[in-house]
Amino acid sequence: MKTLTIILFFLAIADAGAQVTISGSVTDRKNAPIPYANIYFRGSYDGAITDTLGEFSYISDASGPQVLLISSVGYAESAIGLTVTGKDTTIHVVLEEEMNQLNEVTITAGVFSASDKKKSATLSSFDIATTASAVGDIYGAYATMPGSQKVGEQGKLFVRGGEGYETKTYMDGMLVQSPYFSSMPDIPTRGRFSPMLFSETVFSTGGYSAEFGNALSSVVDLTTNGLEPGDKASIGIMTVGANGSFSKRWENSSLAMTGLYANNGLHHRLFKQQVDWISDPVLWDGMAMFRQRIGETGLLKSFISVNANEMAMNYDNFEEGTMERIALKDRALYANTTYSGQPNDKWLIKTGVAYGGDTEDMNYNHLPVQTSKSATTAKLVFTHLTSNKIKIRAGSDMVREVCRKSVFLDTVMIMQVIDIQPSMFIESELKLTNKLALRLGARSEYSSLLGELNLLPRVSAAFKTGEFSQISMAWGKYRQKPENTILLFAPMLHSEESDHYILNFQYRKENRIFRIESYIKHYDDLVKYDALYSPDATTYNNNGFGYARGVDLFWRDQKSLKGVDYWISYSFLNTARDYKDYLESTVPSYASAHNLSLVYKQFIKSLNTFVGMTYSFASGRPYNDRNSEKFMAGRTKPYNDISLNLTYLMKLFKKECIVHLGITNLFNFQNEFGYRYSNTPGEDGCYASKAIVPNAGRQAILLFMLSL
Amino acid sequence: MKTTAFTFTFFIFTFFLAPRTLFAQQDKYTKSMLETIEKLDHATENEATLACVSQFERIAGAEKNLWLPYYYSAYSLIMMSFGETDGIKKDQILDRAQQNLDKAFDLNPDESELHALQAFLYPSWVAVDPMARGMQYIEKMAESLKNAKASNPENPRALFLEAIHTLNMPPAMGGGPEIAKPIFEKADSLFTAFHNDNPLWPNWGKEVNRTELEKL
Repeated sequence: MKTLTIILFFLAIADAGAQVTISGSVTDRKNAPIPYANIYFRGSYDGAITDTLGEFSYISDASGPQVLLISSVGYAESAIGLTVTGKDTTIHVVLEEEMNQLNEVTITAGVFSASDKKKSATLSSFDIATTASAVGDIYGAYATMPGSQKVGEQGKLFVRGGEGYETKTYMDGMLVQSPYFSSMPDIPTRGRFSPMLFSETVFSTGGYSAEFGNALSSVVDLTTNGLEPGDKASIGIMTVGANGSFSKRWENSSLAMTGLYANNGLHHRLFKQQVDWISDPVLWDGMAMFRQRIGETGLLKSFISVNANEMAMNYDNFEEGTMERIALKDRALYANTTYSGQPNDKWLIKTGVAYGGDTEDMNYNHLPVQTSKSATTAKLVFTHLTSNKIKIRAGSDMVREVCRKSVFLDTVMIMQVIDIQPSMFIESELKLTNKLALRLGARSEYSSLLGELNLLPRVSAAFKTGEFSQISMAWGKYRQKPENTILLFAPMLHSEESDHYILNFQYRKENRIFRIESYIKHYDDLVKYDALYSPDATTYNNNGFGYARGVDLFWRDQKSLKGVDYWISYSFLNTARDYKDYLESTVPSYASAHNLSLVYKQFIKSLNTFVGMTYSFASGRPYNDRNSEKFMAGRTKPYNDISLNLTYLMKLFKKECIVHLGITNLFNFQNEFGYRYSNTPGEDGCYASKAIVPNAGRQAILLFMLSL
Repeated sequence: MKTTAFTFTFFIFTFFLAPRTLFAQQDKYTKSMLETIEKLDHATENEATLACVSQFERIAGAEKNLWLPYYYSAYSLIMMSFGETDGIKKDQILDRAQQNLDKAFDLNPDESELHALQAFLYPSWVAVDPMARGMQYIEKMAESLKNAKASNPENPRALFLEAIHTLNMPPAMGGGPEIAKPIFEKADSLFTAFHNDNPLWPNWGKEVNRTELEKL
């Protein structure tokens, strides 16, 4: 009997474990309750979730030393050691907000990012590819962002009162020396790379990171796509040419290739050109992208692009009163290989090499001039993830530039400059609190050609003023060497300088975003000369200076109208500078005081069509009216353009097919960019003038693409 | 006598207790999962659904090597996301669902049900920002459906999701009710034929499939 009692006793104990009630509350730092948090002992099934008041209570049969885990989305998981003694336990837990992309404070002063992944981005790569006025040009799409100027006859990005060359382009962190195709006078150029190559682009309008340098105004930082998701092939036929692409995916690597042949012949016959073309522009372009995953975290990316274009026209040299035959042949190669990886929890490494070479053969009335440029770069960047509040990056890069100009007279005249530019930078990103982020950096740049070493500080900060809003500021000093084509004649020049003060406010809730940004830029040491490419080095100096001040506004709404996405961007610019061959400080010819863009996109489901429309406006631009005593007194009439694009999706022979129609200047506004004046006065003593106009009025491009 | 008593006691311990605790453990998992699945079926509000999600996550954490608890927690969250209109909150729910789904994939990378569940997640994800995500969505859905069917051509859920996807595609892109109908019908026959000994195996979709088929 006794044995049986003992047995039963043991059985009873084994069955009925000791039970305790675990209860309490979970709040954040400010004592606000956190509902639906998960609370349980590690390894146990039993637990509870907090109610809407942040309170919980449940019965547990755990005993002895345990670890209580408390987790909730948006907060860092908490682990608390407890010894369960059989007594009911009450506990109050405070969870720390997790720094994640949804709620983190990000430095936005002077930065617009287009990303498919980052939630803090303002645009996606699809947005860039489908902006109506851009016709698939990255820089054209950025021209609809605040801070950019419309400079239609050049086609480059002009940012906040800065010249076109003040914006530099980087791909995966490596410098791209010639991001635009070569072009001829008054023929606008465009970017060499398709926006679809990039998963992320960051367009800074000032205040960019210490990682980049040698740009007085802004940086366009392009990140190429990672591994291709699968096998694909497609061919396209356009009114301006044809293209083909394919991609192949293996388990840990992928390869993508595209080829393009473009010929504007048909286009020029359909749309009357103001330019007298001798031979229509022809372009050959090929690109290959290879990606390889290495180990758990490493990714090797290799990119190569080659292109060749040629064109010839009869150029009306109105100043001289003559017609000149100008022909262009341009060949370029750009290759870039980068490796990024995370060797352990605390360190990230990114390294790469790149080479860009571009040879431009111009023929001015049978006088051949060849300009060849090349840039070889190597870069290494380390990031130390000190904590989830501190991140430190440091790196170094080396650029070797060669610029060579050959003029083929009876004898060949060759001029060449070689510049070796090592630089180093260090930058720390600090999340001082959930609401305050600070970025401090410094960069040192050396140029062997100029014999200059510069030390440049950068500071930026952001403060969250509310759940959906924040203020951000940036300050920095920037230097940029004069263009190599000028240094050929005057290597003793030194670098130009600018400093930026930027302040911005951003409100972002659900699918709406509002930004207002104000800035002040000071320019100094700008290059001045009596005449461009004058062989007399004494006529060049660094006595130029200038300023740019303004306010940019941006509003994007993807919510209010169903299926519609639109944005409005407005820039006000007040700028003046004394540079180049200017007689005094005045508003430069590329600057207009008011720039407005309205971009509209909609997917019409019943028609299976994407519709995009862009309205662009710019107030008059200055030009030098020779008939006026005052320098740069003329003002062009304002610029207006309405562009439309339609993209129709369908299936042809069971394959996906896209038909795209893009029309620029739909209402055929007669725009002008400036005036040229004859060098010799007429009989009445007045100088004759001719407007610089776009190559054509209304133009359209039709594209048909089929997936294979 | 003493030794016999001791042996007898010991025998009872080992015979009754040990296997019983073992069985209790096995039972405990299946029992707990079945209970939580039942609760999920009856959950009408977010709080109730989140209680189930948390329960599945606890079971997953305790068991460590089983993919089904992660599957169900992801499934619950995806179901919950359909009712959420705020894009940011919807993304939060889907991020948590994706994390759980990824943990399940780590344990069982080729499982057809997991690929089907991934295909179930994408429609909710694209709804947050159709303009920006639309193109990627089409690619990702195709990839997941392909993987699900390759791993198990008889998986009715894979075919059901393919039918829904085809139904919502515009006719010019090869979709629409006429093309989708036979896929719904095939899915229906697969649902009827479907059988798995594991009582915890995913078993949803048959009614929804029938409902959609009747609408056509």
